[in-house]
Amino acid sequence: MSATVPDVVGFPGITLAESDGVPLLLAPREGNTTGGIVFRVGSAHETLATSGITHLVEHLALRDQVLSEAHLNGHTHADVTVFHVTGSASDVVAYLNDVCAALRDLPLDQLDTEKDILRSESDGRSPGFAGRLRLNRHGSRGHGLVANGERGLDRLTADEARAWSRTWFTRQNAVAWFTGDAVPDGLDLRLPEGRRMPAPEVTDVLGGTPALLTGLRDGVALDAVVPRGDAAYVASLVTREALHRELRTDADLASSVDVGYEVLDPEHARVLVVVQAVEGREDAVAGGVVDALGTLRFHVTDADLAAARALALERLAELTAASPADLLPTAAHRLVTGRRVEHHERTRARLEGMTADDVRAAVRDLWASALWYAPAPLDWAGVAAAPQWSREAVHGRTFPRIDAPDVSLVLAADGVGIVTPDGPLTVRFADCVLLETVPDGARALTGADGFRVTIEPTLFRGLTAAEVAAHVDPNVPTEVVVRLPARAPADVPAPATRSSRKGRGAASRALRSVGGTVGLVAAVWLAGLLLVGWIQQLASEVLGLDLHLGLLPLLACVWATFAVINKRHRRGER
Amino acid sequence: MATSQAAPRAFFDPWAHLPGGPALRAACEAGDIPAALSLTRALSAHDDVASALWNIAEHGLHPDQRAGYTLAVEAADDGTPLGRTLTGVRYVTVGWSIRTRQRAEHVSPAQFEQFFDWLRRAERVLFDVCAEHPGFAPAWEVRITTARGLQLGHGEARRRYDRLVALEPAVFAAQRVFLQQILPKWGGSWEEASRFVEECASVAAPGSLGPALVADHAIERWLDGERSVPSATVDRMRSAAAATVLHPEHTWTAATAVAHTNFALFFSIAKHPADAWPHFDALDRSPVEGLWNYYAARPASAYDAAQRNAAAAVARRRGRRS
Repeated sequence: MSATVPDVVGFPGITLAESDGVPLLLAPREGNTTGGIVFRVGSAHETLATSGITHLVEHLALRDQVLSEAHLNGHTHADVTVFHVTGSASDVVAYLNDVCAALRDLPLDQLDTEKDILRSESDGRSPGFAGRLRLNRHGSRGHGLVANGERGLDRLTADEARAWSRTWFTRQNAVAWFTGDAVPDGLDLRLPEGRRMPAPEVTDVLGGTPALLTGLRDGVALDAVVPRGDAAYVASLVTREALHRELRTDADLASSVDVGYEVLDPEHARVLVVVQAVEGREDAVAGGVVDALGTLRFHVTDADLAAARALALERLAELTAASPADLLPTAAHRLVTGRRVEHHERTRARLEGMTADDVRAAVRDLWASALWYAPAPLDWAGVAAAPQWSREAVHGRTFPRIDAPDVSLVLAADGVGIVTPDGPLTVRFADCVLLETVPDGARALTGADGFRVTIEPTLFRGLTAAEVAAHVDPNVPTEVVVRLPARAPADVPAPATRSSRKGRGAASRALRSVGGTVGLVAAVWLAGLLLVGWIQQLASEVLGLDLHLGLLPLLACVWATFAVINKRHRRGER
Repeated sequence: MATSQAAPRAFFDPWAHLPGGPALRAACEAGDIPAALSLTRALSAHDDVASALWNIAEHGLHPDQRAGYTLAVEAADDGTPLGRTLTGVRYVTVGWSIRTRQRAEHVSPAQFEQFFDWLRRAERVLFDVCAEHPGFAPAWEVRITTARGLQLGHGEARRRYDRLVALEPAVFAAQRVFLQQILPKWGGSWEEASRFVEECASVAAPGSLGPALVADHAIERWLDGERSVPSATVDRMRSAAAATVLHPEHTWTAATAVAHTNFALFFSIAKHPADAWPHFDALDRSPVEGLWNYYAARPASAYDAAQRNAAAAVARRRGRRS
């Protein structure tokens, strides 16, 4: 039943077997036994409305695991989910059997408890700048979801979790491994029928690169999505060498330089560059990185290329030298993600044949696709600001914001939007990936491109909560709706008044405001009386006229009083 | 484009102390930028190349014919690092002429917007030149100025200055430009500026211009309102002059003339006219603007008066001696 398949796995000494229809990689070793199972499903396969569901299923599958001695764990990554354990052979078999049993019939009685555990796990975990880069590049889909948090936890039902498990945690979508030379007795990897799933889609909402986000204070980062391959991989290592030399060896600008290369799917890889500035050199480090990368488009030094190649070969040699059993998780990951695995000698030959021209071309790809995150604009280097506004506004009924009339809410047949003097924010119903509702009538819609429109009915003139709900709710599919609990009255926003924008207390604001109005009215009357007296005097002295104005000045002052009160205390605020 | 009429010579002649200056001036006045570029290519001292580039960009044509000058410079851009750098320098000078040399509070937002636009244009050209030809020093020198204009921060300007120094250790023009960056009027401090002046003096080779930067510093202080000049500063200036422009190993470049005129200005405002004389004398009959236009609304008359005063002081001293 088992066969050594070097051409499939590329790792000599690893045997491909099968158990209950699940591919099982085997390689023996001394001492503890390790085993695991990896599925081709990760957080980037979710949608915003289901985000967290894979992690939830992973937790539920491990809920009843209480092995005493064994070291067991589960991990949900962007593109795969892994369960693994180390212990005695029987521990490993029991663990794998339990995981598969739980995935066949998900234990859902503790669903809410597990959700709470997940929420507390994510508390204080910030997506950071890497998350912000991904959200801006990919939108609220696929690899961009990591930045939104597990928003689906607020609405996922037991049925959805069960359906997710049955669709994604299937025998066709799994690869298992076991450190032994044969399929162990009693192993039960029965899983639902399904199919091998593709890599998460690599989406792009930037509309043009190189692009830039500003606001990173103490360094510079960039995220590039490049054609996957050895050239891009070696270019990432050359970039690291060059940045290290120019920012650390030749100048004291950076305290750390990290360059990562991550395969996203058969066509794409991500290169992430993170450079931390030396304290006090924050305003120089972005320029240093820009110049270094700009130069690499034209010049790759022999020394940098040699160092990068040596590092790539060293990593390859580590793989070659490792015992087959230690490589089982890596081999399983490659197999389940469908990565071409070839013999080390061929990889080595290609790495050794990599030329400066190959690297220059790859750096140009990197430059062209980069999304930068820097302290200040880089327009001087031809890097434009990433879109901060939606490309188009929607057209429909318009409601001005009470405290900022140049900002309007638009309720259109095909979506909603906020229009500001700087640009529009638009979410079309067809692109809405999440609708959050609260009982007081506020709604927040997130579009697939990552833009979000928040509708607070109290902030817009002429808008009622009922009107918002009637316009939005029927147009958005229920499976993207998160119903949040009622807010405390203090959390419902009120239009800012001129003084509240300065952050004063409400009571003193009202007092000052009323006091100010009384003062103004008094001033209006005083000025009015003085003016009338002066005009009458002038008329009699210069023109010899005796003016009889009667009640007119009095009426004018009364009118002015009402005007002042109306202006300072709008009807809605009184 | 060419003009048969030679432009009247300005009082401060930017070409006078540049090797091949008359030929360069003639090429520019004839609108022959390719010829000007090839004359510039023949210059060897970096300070001469820098001076030629800024002169071509700024004083290129007869004032009546400047409208199409940017187009002429772009047309002459032959894709060489020098040609592209000249295009960049031209954009910088156009931008700065819109901004004017007034302090920021006297420049309108619209002026600033156009100024930034031109500087970004310049910077994109120069960034590519530096990426493609990282060893081409003149482009790095211009990028110190664009960093200041675009307000990229002292750190970024310093990084560019350091890149230039790694290629050319003593470019006086670059030292002067970076000093401007770290003066209080551009967000720096007198302490920072003093440290930089010290640094330039301490690393200078015998006879090179580094120590002369102290004159720029002292004049800027005086212009800022510090009108009493301590005698120690005067002594320091005398030794700086002796170590640079008056040093036997000093090699004359266009920057030498700038250093002379600034020494002359310093000794004049410090009321040591006799010390100013050797510097006026060295410039002969071709005055150089240096910081004189910051010192006086009518710099030419101020220069003339100071020169006469210096000559008289020397004559008096000789009279006393005889």
